[in-house]
Amino acid sequence: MQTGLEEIRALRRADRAEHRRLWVGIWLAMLCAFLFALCHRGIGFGFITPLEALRSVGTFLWLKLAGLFSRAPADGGASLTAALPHYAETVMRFRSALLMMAGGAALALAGTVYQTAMRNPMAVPTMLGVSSGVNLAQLLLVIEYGSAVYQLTTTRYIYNYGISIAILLIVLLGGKIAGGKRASVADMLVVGTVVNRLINIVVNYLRTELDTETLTLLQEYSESSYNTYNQFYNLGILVGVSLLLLLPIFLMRFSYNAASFEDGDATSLGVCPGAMRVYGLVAGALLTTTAMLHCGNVGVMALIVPHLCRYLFGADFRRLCWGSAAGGALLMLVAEIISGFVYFEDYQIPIGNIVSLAALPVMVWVMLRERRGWE
Amino acid sequence: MSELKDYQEQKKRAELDSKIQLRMEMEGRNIFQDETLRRHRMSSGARVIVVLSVLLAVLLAVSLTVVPYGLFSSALDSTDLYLNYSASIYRDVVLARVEALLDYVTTGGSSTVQFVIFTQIVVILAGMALSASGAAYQGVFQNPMSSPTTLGVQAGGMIGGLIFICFFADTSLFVYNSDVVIYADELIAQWRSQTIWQLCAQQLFTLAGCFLGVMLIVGVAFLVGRGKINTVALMLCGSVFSSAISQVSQLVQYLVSIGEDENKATMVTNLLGGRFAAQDFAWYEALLMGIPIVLGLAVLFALGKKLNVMVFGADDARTMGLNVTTFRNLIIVVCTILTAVVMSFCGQLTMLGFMMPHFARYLVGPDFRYLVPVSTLLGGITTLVVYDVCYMTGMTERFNMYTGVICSVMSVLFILFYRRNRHADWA
Repeated sequence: MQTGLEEIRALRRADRAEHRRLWVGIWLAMLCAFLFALCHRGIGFGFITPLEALRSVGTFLWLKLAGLFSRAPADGGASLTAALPHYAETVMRFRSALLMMAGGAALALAGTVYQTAMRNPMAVPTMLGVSSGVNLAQLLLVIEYGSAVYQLTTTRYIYNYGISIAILLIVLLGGKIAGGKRASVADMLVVGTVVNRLINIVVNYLRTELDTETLTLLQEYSESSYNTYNQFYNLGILVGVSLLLLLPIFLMRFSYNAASFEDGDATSLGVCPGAMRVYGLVAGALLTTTAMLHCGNVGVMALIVPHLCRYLFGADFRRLCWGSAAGGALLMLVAEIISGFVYFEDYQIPIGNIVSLAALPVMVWVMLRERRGWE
Repeated sequence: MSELKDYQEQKKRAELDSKIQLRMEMEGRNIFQDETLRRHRMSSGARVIVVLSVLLAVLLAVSLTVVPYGLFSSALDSTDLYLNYSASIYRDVVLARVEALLDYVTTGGSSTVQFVIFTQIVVILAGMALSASGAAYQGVFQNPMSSPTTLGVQAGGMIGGLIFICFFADTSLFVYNSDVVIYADELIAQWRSQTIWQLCAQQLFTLAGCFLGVMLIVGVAFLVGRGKINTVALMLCGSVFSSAISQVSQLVQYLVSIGEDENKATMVTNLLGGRFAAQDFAWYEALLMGIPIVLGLAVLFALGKKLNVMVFGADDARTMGLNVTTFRNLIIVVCTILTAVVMSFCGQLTMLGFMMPHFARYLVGPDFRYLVPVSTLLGGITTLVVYDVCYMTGMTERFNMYTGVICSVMSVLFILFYRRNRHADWA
């Protein structure tokens, strides 16, 4: 039976009614977090007023819009921004907050697709080695370009996506060779896990071989590579690539429910689980690469956010995909705000460390509260 | 015509009778022979064990005598260690090594050859311990992807070592810089002035960290499983914990490396990269490692039969009369001791405990009575060979990395080309 448009609308109305209070809470929390991120100056407890923050963002958007229709003021908006003393840093924080939200949503969706399609609560895109691939790309870039690495734009994308695609090809081909006639996604995950460990070993030991200056440069670059807000197209690439990869998943959101059954059942319901799993595998890996390129080393978000959201929204994929996108965005924003407050001897602890340290307690809490959500 | 037919039939029947007669005679003879043969012949698994033990002994003897340091090295400094290995010089070096060995064994002097002996023993012990515990874990958790590092042993040990280096280490005493000639007299005197507890303080901290890490993960799994250890929770929390700790250790490495203390930075680098860069091993380290490892291996060998029962799953094993909870806890404790000892003395050796059980399963099949010893011996042989290659090329500081890389490349190839012909799942 095909689902008609009316039925889909009725379903969506029912979904909205069911989780209305939850959604209101999430949107309110996201609004508060966004305003807080705009107002917090990132240096200890310095704040600006929300009015000034909103005016700065409004001015920035107005100038961009005017530039788009070639009506920009003659002085480049200097007279407008002169009244706003924190204009530049507020715009920077605005971009970074948007970047974090988009990255968090992409990561959470990648994790949700993995766990639903593979029918495995432990499946994460980072299992395939894409996160260690990003580390490897940063290492290679630093070794090859030295301190000129901060000026790179296109090369950085080429390295990261090149390594990710190479890993994906190895995983897909390896799964095919290992599985023979009965090639399955499980084979690919096995190959991917081993490739991940191999890359991890190589990266770890190459790090110990580096001299102190290169190591320091690598650490600073890998922790601040998501901080290059000067290029506005970072956000464009993140959102564009994510939307492109997520569009088929969004269109197939009803079928992913069917793919979470046994293979035979899914086939009799009229979907092809193998193809959907392979697409989920590829799309999840590329989404994770994109998000980690722009948001730092936060791959563990793809593991915990789906569990958390399944606890809140239930296991139905068509609800879960909206819920995990919102939840991922919110949690990433909160993590970025928290990382603005955590210092160790004047050194700001990067967001990746905070997220991965917070992951274990959150994981335990989720598993304790709702046993069926993760099993 | 009928006579002819009868004749042919008779002939056929006679032939058949004689064939049957022959067959029966042969079988009658063979039953007896087979029985005696079977009683006096070893099983194939035991044969593999004997062959591998002999191979390990031969390899140890070879690597103790005819493998000089830096044989194929081109990067050695001409000032101190350069040797032009022409045939005659090589022969002299080997003869001197053999003489020193005999001298050390008979009189027990304090020549530097003792470090060679004990380092190789430590290397073999490390490989054996990790491979055996990997095989036991794969049996107990019924998961072919599990390895000794699954429960966060290495991550916990890393934290313990980092805490020791950051807060308790007396860096003026430790000279970890590889440019320093290690056997200088005053350094040896300095080292000897310490007690064993001072010498092994970092190892003890790492050991404590290993146990605390495993206790954390197992405790979480216990809590989540409402009184029973939940395997999925165990794996999940182990992987999250390990990835978090690896990120934290990279951060600590950065923070230490921008500090003033260079010795401390080198110590952190050695901790993350494995300890073979720091110095060679002495008798007390071989002893401290050897006792727990030999005891733990003996326990694992004895438990092989019960591991066979565990493969059917926890419920079936319970109906076969096995106390599953106690058995699983015992295996976790023994394997944690084995892995923690290796982690604290040698640093992390990844992938060895994952790869060797699979290779052993390829050799002797899934029977754990033979699988655990064969996996143990294979681990020892692999580490010894890798260490010898590192020793000959003068790069012993990369021993941990080479082991990891070789094992992961081997496991990729193994998965690709061995698994294709199998129709059953692993383990």
